[in-house]
Amino acid sequence: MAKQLIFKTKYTEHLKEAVSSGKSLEFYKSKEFVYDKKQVLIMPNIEAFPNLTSSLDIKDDFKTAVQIYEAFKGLEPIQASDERFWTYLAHVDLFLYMIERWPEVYVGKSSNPSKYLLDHWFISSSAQSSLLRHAISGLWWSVYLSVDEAKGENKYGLTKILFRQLDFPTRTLGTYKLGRHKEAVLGILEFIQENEDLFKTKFEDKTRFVTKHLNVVGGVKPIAYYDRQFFKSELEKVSGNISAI
Amino acid sequence: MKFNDISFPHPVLGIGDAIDSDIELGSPEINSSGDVYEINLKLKQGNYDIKQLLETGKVEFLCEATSSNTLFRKSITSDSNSIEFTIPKKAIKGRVEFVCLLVAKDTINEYSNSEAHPDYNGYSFDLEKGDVVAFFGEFSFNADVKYEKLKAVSSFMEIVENLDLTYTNIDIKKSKIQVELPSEAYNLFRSDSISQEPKFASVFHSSIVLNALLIALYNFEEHKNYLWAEVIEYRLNNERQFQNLSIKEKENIPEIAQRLLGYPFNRLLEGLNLIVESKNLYEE
Repeated sequence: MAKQLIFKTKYTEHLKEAVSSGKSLEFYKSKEFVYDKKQVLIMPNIEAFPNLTSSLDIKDDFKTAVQIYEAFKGLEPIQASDERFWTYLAHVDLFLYMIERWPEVYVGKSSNPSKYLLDHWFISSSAQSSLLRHAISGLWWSVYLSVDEAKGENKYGLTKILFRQLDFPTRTLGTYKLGRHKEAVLGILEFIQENEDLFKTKFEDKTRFVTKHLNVVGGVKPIAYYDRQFFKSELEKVSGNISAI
Repeated sequence: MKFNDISFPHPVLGIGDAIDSDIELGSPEINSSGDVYEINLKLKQGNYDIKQLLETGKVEFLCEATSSNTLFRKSITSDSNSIEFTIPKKAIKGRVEFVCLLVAKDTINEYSNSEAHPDYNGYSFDLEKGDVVAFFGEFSFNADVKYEKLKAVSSFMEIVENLDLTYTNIDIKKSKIQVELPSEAYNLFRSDSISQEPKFASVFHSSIVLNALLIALYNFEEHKNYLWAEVIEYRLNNERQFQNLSIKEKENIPEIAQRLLGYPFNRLLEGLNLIVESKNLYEE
């Protein structure tokens, strides 16, 4: 099996600059992205999945996220925060998926194509919020933070709740410091799972409240010290407020 | 948790003047060893009431490590003030931050401290598991900095080709100081007869490298968040030769640059002498 490739650092910067300046916008209106094949490096311990696109579903972010995570389950955190890797996937292996899932430049409907491409195809920095917002890296990291291996076949049960609304993993929970503590993420998701009726309406507003509330709690308590039960009991205390939203 | 402006409902040792007792983070040791970083801490505090809590097992030491670039978060607890733990290198990237605390192991009813500020007189507090009793402080290191290789110029500078240039440019808004050479000059520089010749190292150091370094050092304060500046700052803070040379005093910068590069002018003159002597030897 072939090894996964990534772009070289300078080439990643070059691609970003070419989009910023508008020089390369036409390349994103084709079904195949034309790039310099000499500008790649091999990830020696990661297998490539060149046909991964065929198993992704542009209408189902949860399914897509799990497929991407399963394919690259062996990534170490330092590799999964490497912008060269995600930029390569977005431009080469998963380019077809990208132009279908984020089609505005491809179909010529974007009012600001440079910004649209920079937002979805590139990672602005390796900070947590950028990793969670990228079109592919965000999916991988969301599964990484919510998969519960102890639950066997149902290990992605909580991930499914996380993907009920894409903003929840990519812009709400994932971008808070709270999102760095897996037990906090699992506690919140289990609370939602165990209190389905509470979250039947206004899911987005309620999950925003939950995240903000726990972030305030984390202002005076060392979040990493606690397991998921703590977060569930903290949310239990404010279930009346959640219900009132 | 950010401890700059935080206000707790109960007195916390180490936060403002809430409790009048000594507390010390000490000098955390961070060693690179194979695939891991080894962290060694010795936390100290001198408050009698807190000592009692420690002796009765009601509080414990907590060190929380985070690396936002890899969404890494780990907490290490200990009953002893000497804490040793490791972090896999594969788990972190860039700045790694640590905060060291003493926290309640379980509920502590009616907590008060005899050295607390008079504002707390007559009050007691019910603490819950995890509530902070003492704050030793915070520290950080940069996992991108190869501390064991800092003496090499390549740890903070690189020479690259720029196809669009006619004249050499110095770019200090990159992770390393970049000396950008036009293609023709770059190809000459890269040729084996020049780049592989050890005798020319001092020539490069005292010309191209020294010039670029001086530009960077004169603009150091505005670029402190770049990796090259962090590498240099680490050396300035940790090497005895820089003890009395503050980079904030501009007149120190030429000397700092010379020291960082290992006195390139001296090496240049010695190197030129060597070249002349080798030539004479060849002619004989």
